[in-house]
Amino acid sequence: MPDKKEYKVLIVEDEDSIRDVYKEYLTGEGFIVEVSSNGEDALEKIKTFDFDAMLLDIMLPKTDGLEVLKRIKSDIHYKDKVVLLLTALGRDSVIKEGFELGADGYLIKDQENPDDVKKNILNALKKVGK
Amino acid sequence: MSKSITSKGITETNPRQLYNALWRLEKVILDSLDFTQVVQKVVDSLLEELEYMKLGYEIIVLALVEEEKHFLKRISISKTSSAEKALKYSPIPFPEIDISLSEERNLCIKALNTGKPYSTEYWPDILTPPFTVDQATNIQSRLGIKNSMVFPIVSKGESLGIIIFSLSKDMKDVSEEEHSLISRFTDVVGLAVQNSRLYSSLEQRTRELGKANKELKQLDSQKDEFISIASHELKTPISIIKTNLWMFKHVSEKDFTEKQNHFITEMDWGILRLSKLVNNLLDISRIQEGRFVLDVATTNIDEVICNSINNFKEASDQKGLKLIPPKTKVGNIIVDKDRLTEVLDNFISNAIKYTEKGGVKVTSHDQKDEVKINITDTGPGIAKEDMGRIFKKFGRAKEGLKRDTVGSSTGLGLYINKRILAEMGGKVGVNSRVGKGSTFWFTIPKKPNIGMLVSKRQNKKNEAIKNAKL
Repeated sequence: MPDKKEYKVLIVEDEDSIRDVYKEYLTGEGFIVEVSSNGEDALEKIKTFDFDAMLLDIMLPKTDGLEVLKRIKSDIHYKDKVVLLLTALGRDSVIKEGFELGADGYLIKDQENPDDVKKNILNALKKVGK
Repeated sequence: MSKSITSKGITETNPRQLYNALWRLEKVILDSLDFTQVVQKVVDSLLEELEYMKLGYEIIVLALVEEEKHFLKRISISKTSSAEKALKYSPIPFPEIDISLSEERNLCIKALNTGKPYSTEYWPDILTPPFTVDQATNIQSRLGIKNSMVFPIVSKGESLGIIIFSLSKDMKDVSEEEHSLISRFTDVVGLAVQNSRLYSSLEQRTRELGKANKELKQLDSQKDEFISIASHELKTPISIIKTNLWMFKHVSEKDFTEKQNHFITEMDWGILRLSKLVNNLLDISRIQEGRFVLDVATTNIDEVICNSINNFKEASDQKGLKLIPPKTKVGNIIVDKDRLTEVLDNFISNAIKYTEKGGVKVTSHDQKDEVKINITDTGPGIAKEDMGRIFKKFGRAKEGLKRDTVGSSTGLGLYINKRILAEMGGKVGVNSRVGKGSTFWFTIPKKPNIGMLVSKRQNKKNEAIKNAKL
């Protein structure tokens, strides 16, 4: 299939269960997946892992998701990468803040199933022409 | 040594002057309602207003009955030099000079019990106990008090206390005028004491209510905070269950039996309901904390209504209900599409839930600056006594406590609708007749008004403050 390009996805999520499920499903769907459980580790990982898209939880220990987003989008190396925010909260004012910082979209964890997550990643990549 | 003072009545001598004097005293005493002020004025007014000092009135003392403790308690004493000396010589501090109501031989208690005035030239009559005879006579001679009169204070047939007038002259030198005046004066005192007591207890009650109100407000905000934290914390495990359940259904290799499928469906239903409840609670705490944001854009409202109706097609078909969309078109308005959908979904799911026969009809009406939408059902209708309740938090009609198949009921849907519509600048209401069905209606402005934009900015500000605190 033409869209079977092996996209690289970094999942930044501190909740093991959610992280593992996404990883399992996306790997099964042909993505190359790396994971991170906190903001600092994520910022370290992207130096070596050339990701296409990032799933970024907003509430993270140490450096929170919005801070990670800010640093990525203000860095010339990463600013064109797709970043989808993961939130437990649903529509909230924090999402608006995320968009202002350059997020490409957001996913509400209890409302989107793993397949929705995949579709959202592909849509967002398509939008930026990847 | 003590004797009862016989009333001499209002004398022919100058009744007019008497009333005039009495009126002046009344004015001073009844001028204030504050208990502390009133009781001080009671003992001072005769001396200050009518210059009774010149007539030999050295000390005036007010004592009132402490109902619960069964004693007569000293309340106030005149600001005279003799009084000052008396306080200095007294072996017991003034506020502690309490006389038990059972001391019937004490002249103060006697006046209280009989409701009659007495006079004495011998201070132990009024001071023993708690003073010893020696202590009482000693102070009396040092102060040069020749005679004391004890008058009961009676109001509405109840003895409230007594007033003691201590004089540097003999009883025979007390004129009829003085006597008449004092006798009537004590009636005024009775009224003033009772009024100010009522007022004080009212004030006390007001203070208590104020305090209770403050505590309730604190509890209320703690409750809001609890809901906010609890619902945040609940979201994560809900996500975990939902995601893993989805994986279980879609990624498991084998086919499920009918029974297994049933269990999975039940789990789906349960977690959906839990998730909806928590989302509703989160919405409420967002609204209460001012973190509710509207994301407005030009939206075709007819499409939004149609999409909402389509979402419930399956549910209404299952119940054999007709679900009728509006026939008229309204076109574009500026609105938060997702919130509008949420409001419509809440109304439509409620209507389907409570309707067993017939159907649900949605109509839309273009009303100049706003759109009105009606959701009419052929359900049981809402009883008058339930009308006030249904838009409240967890408010449900009595019939509403049942498990339904359409969606999950949290008792929060209508409350949230009302709050969301209020944020949007719309109104909401219901017309209903028992046995005929209900029409829920709401209006929504075609353009968000300035007030909303201001409040949105305010929200941002609130949030900035909140974040700063964290």
